[in-house]
Amino acid sequence: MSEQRPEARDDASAVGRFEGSAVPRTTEPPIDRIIERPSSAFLSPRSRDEGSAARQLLRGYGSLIGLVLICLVLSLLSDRFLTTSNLINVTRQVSINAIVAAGMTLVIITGGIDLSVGSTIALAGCTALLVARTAGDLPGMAAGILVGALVGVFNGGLVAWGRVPPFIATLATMTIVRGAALVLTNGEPIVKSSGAYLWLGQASIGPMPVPILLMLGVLLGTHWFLARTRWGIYVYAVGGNAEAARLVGISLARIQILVYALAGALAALGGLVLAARLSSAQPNTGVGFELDAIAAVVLGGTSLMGGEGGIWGTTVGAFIIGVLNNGFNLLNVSPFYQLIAKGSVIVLAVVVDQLLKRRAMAARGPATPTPARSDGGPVAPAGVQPAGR
Amino acid sequence: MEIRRWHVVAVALLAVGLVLAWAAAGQAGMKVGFSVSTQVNPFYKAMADGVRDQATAEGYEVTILNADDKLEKQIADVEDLIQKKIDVLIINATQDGAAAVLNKAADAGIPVITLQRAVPGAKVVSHIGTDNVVIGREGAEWIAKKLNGKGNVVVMEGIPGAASSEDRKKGSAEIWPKYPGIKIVSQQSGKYDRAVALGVMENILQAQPQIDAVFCFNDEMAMGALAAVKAAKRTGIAITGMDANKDAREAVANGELAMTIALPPYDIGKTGVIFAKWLQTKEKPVPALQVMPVSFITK
Repeated sequence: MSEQRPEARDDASAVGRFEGSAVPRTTEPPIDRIIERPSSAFLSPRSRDEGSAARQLLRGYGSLIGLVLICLVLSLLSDRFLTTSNLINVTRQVSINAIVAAGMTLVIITGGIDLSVGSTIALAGCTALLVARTAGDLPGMAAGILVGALVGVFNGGLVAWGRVPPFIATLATMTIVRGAALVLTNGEPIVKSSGAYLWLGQASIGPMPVPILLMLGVLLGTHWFLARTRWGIYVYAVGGNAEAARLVGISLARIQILVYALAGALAALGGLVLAARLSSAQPNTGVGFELDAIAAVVLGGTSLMGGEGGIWGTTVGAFIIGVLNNGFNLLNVSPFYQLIAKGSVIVLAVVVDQLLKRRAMAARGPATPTPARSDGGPVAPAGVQPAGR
Repeated sequence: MEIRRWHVVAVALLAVGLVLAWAAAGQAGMKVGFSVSTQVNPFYKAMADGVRDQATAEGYEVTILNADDKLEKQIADVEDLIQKKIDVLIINATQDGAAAVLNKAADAGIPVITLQRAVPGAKVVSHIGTDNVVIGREGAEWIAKKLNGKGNVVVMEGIPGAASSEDRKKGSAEIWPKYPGIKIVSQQSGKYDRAVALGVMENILQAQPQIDAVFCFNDEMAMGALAAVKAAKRTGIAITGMDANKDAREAVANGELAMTIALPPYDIGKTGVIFAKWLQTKEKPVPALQVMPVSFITK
């Protein structure tokens, strides 16, 4: 991360150059033409996706096997676990963490991290309900999401322009946002026991609770964004090799601000669902939610170093955490032992995942040009030079 | 006859003495200093009100200083009070670190009374406050009686390892064995958090087809458990909280929560001044530890 900081100053000018001349911002050709070379075929959405569907599955296997094992053990230990109502219950509980973790995945793929999502959950919920009291529920919801996105833009700005390491930047934002939520509410919960917003948390469409449907939408949307759009490529590129990404004309700042803003907005959405589930918003809720989201991402095989990973793995990771919590409660495990058990399962799942990954890599062997990155993250493509270099 | 005359004289002398003593006390007044940790939290506001009201009623000169939750400010405040030559120092400490300055006051001959937060290592004549073990005990007793000694109870603990939660757990654990008909079907941590308690309670509802009461170690978790019970459309479950927060009181009033436990900050403040009076007048011995009773708020 640190070694590209000095050059990162060139971002704006690099973009300017491309925008002004060779690479129009929105269209197909130039960047693709530059990037889509035999040596860097993974950077094109389609080819990356073909490799990645299988690879992402493989990458998710470790955790998926872990999840299946946990479910197996739980269904043997509790006859209540494998019931339709409990499975819907678990999925609904997973939904908030999964929505937050989807945004976290984007940030972590760029090599960043966002510690402020827990506070953002609280601030967004409180803002939404306060605005909803006077302006109505829809403007309230919009205000909540907007506040979350703004927190994200602030994070992204600190990281991209302020050159503050993401851990420190978002740690600071975490306390600022928590303080803002407390100031806004004077430390009191905001209760709103009626209104359209409750739909987000308490309604069902058919047998499916709305939070689950929202989660599905967010997961599919972020997966599509990562796997099918040009911006998705850039997200991987920034995390895989920021210098190369910069050299091919990707604006680091723009990508970083985009992913933090998305993470903030998704955390805010999680906050709205949470508020709707509780018919109220608490300024001090969401403490530690960032750790659950990060755990879900890492359990899903996304590297904290950036450049690889995906939504599928994060989904599995979020389910591992949710199913564990559910199992502890069903089996009435002592809260002290829960802490030990939860940590142990996370370590175990990650170790198994690493072993499988290494085996998969060894099997692929020399066919993979860049063994350092399991998905062949965007390493500086040979011969790719922006104009003027 | 002789004896009777002696009696009369003695009673008359005593009466004169008392009147003189009262007059002297009234003239000199008693100077009470109260250093309070914060005034942001309504709990401590009520405590300061209790001190002020009782001191005014007794005709004492009272100085109340707010430390804004900062130990440095509290130490400076207490030093100022020592300079003012107060007769009794009442303190609601911000931290254990206040011990040194409290000993300075004690060494200057000023008796120290601590409120709600005990300060280990400080020379104090009395500590007044609530006791979480007692709260756990009394809450559990309330639930057991509410269920007529028979039923399935869920216990929702606070943050694992937090002193308040562990003490409340300890207190309640002393009570359950006395009621063989009470079965603790689940004892889990809701981390004092409404959102966490919601999820935990949903899971417990999946596992337990019959629940008669949910005993939560604070109101936030009681409200979370209530949301879970309402969403699951389960009925006949008595949910109780602690703290008597605003929305918990409302939930009690409209019958959704069965009970919440209120702590008596105002009475703690008043008792501090009453003990200060007893120190001066010696009319009653001042207990070294006064555990204040909590009250149950029900519909």
